[in-house]
Amino acid sequence: MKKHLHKLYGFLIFAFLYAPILVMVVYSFNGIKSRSVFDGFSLQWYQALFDDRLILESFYNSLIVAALSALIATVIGTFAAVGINKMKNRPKQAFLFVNNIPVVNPDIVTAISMMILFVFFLSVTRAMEMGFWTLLIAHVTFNIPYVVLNVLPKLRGMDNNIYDAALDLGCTPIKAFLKVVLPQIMPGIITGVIMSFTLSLDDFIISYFNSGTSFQTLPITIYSMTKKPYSPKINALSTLLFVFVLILMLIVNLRQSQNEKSKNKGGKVQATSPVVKRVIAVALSAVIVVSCAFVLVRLNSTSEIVLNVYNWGEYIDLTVIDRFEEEYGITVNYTTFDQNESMYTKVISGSADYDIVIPSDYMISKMIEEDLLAELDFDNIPNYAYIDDAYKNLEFDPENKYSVPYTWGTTVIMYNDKYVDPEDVADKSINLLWNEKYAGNILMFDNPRDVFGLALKKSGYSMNSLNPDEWAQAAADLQTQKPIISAYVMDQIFDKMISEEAYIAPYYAGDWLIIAEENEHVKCYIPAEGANMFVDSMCVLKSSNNKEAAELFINFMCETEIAVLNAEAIGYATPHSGAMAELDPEITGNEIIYPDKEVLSKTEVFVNLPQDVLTQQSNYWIDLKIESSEE
Amino acid sequence: MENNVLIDLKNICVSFGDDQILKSINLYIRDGEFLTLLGPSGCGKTTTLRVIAGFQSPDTGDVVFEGKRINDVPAHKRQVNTIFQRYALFPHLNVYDNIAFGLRIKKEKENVIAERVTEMLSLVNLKGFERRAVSSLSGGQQQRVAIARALAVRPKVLLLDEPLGALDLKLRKDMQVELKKIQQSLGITFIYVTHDQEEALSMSDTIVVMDNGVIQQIGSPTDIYNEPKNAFVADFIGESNIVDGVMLKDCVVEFSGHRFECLDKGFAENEDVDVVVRPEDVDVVATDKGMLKGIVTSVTFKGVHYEIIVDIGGFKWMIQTTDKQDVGDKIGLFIEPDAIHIMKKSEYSGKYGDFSSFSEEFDELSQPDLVAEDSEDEN
Repeated sequence: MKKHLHKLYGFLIFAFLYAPILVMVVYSFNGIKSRSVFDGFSLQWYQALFDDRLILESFYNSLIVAALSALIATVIGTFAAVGINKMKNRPKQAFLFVNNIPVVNPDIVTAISMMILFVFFLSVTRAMEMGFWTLLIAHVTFNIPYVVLNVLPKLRGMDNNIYDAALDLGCTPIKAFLKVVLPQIMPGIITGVIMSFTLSLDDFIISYFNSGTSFQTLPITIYSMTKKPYSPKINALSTLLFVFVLILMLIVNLRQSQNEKSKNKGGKVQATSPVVKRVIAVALSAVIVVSCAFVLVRLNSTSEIVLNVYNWGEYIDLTVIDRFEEEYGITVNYTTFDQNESMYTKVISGSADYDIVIPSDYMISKMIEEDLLAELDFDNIPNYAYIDDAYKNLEFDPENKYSVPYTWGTTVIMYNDKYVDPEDVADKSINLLWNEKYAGNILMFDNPRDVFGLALKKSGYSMNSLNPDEWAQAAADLQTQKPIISAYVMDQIFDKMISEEAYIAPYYAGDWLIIAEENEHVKCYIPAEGANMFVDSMCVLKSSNNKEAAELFINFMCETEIAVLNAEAIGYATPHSGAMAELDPEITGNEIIYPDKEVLSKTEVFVNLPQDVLTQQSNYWIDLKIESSEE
Repeated sequence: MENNVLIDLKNICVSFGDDQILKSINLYIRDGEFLTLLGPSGCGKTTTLRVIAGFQSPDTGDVVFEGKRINDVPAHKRQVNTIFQRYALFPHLNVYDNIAFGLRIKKEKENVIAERVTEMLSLVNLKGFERRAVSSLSGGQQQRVAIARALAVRPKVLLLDEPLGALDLKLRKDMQVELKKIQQSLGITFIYVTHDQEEALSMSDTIVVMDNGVIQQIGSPTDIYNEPKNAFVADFIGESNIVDGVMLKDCVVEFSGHRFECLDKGFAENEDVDVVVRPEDVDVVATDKGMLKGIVTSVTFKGVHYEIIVDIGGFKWMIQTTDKQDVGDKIGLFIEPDAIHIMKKSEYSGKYGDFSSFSEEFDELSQPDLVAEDSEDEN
């Protein structure tokens, strides 16, 4: 009985550890884009993965940084460990203490302190900009303590006389280290390399703050994709990474157990076979050659014009970038973000050097207020003429001096027609979200701006209201709505609506298309009271040194053919009149994606609110959220 | 100085921080000699060895090898090789590769190496062990590999740092004989470090007794045993009763309230001296025939003899006798003139030779492991 319990316990632990990975692997072969339904085996997500230039490029970047930083950190860390091991007790303790601080230090502290140091250093020396080199230095730095921690115990466990014995038999100190000490501590070194490699590969925070404009690693790319509906490409990518790391671990463990077996048997020492040695040597030199080549290429490529473009994740047809590069001979560094706020933080941190950013409406007005954006020279952007007048001179940029609209859309209210009575949606009102009939099956946004926008519009107020009484009423309305809300969520809206866990939810028009593809019962309407219209526009930063090239890029993006490609890839509405004409009429005819003028006239664009209103909003929001979590 | 002096240490001083480990060591070692550095843990014997090997450079003083000063010659260029306390074999190499290591560093041809390794393996009786992993060998076998590895490069001097400390008693005795044999057959110089006086007495040509960083006495085993220079040497080598005495004139000494004849001369009249009497040199007789009288306070059976402790006027003597005595017996003691050895007073006078606290002292000496452990701290 007890034995069975033991087995069960062991099984549960393994299930707990590996079930998530197993599910991920299975879903990476899913035939459809769903996280809940498995519909046939397919390799389409692997296909999509290898078609995604941004992912592959950042994966390659990650591998290079991980390999180089692991190698460099291992060399430095090993020598450091040898030095520390030779120290007398007191300085040794001090050094170990200093060594351990970065390990327990929160990553965010390491990340920000490094960034500040780099920004300071680079602004003084003007030697280079944040990018590959700063990222590499940062990764080497945070890897070194782990190497030391892995190598030091091996050195301690080694009989010190072994080194003396080698000297005694005629080795110079260096030879004695290579021939005798190194083989003894090799297991620690290998663990150090692998640990550094994996730590570097999946580091997000430190990379995020220290990679500057031009260099994006895989975790940053993946993170920036989370704003958009989750793509099973990530499953495929994670599966490949998992298999890769698994193989590494298997090799290491197999080797170790083989060695131990031969030792325990008291048999002959199993020397590593020459074939294996050669394979390792070839692999290692390949890594070094590729890395060096990469470094050389980076060093050489600094002379030509490089345009740094910072866009939302999955918000472009990536072939467009290739075409631009080919046509104009300008290199584009394309990197991505997940939120207006994180883009803004990065821009003002001083660690980045972007030329083009693509923020949303209210963020644009904020950046104009803070004098971060450059006035555009529209003579360089003749294709601006294609932009429909309906999207020009909007509130966030009233004279349209700073921005060129890229995509737009509205918020919609989705409902499932299997559960929601037709008469309840006949008036297309926001009030559906307050309908107690559907208590427990209604979702709300999980960001204050959208939530209060809906509540304000419900009472007929402006979403950009500056009247405290109107805000108070909106807050009170939300409190009464709270008991019937199932959850405040963002991304999960996809799954909950598709799986019919919830019947009613607000979201963005472009994303409704994706949901409707998976579940045909999910319908939607643009609220009659008026909806939020969001516009994401291309802007050039004031700090840009390549303003003309940036305008060239914006103009290129406004070419009809290119705008069509982008519109098809993104699924959001395009403000480009030429593209509208060329797009599939089924898309442009969709009243949700491209609503008619009358509906549009009722929509409102978010503008940047004054600080006191923002503070009030965030207080109301906290009240709402805190009490909701108490329940 | 003789012509065949190989190594000459002149005024060697070594300190670690505030600890003076070696205080002006002067010592020469002849070619082909089996010299033992003997002393308790922390006496500086291992440090002396490391100075010769080149692992430790002296603060002051000269290390001379074949007439040349070699202070600045690094360890790997010296013609001496070391056997370490815990063998220090290379765990990632097999027996063959361990022994061949030094030869490969010297870039010898592989056929020469093969020949030499085979020769060494037969010297240490390990034929057929070539491909074995060193971790699969017993302690004694590992020790043999270490010896073969050091001898393979044909050193002029072999330094042995407590090489038998980790072996059990029986194996230790066998290896003592074997080491002595190897030394004699190769005719090279051995410098041997040990804290085991028996080992030192049975193997050495010359014994250097050290304590507290100072050489106490240099001499042949018999000299050291029979003519200890001071109370420390007398006590450390074998068992000794050491009592205060007064040299009345040449060949007459008074101690324990009795006047004895002895063979020692050359002291001032009425000079205070230390008198050494070995426990085996005292005869037990009837009280009326004894020069000294005492009461037996403890009896231990040791196999060959009984070891008894006798209280003579408050001072406890150790006596080894084949006649059984009982605790509480009153006995007489008889001491021949040649059993008495007179030493000048020294800093060690009064510290040793009284067996009142015998048991603790014995315990300490019978724990070679503990001592071996301590001696590492010297490094």
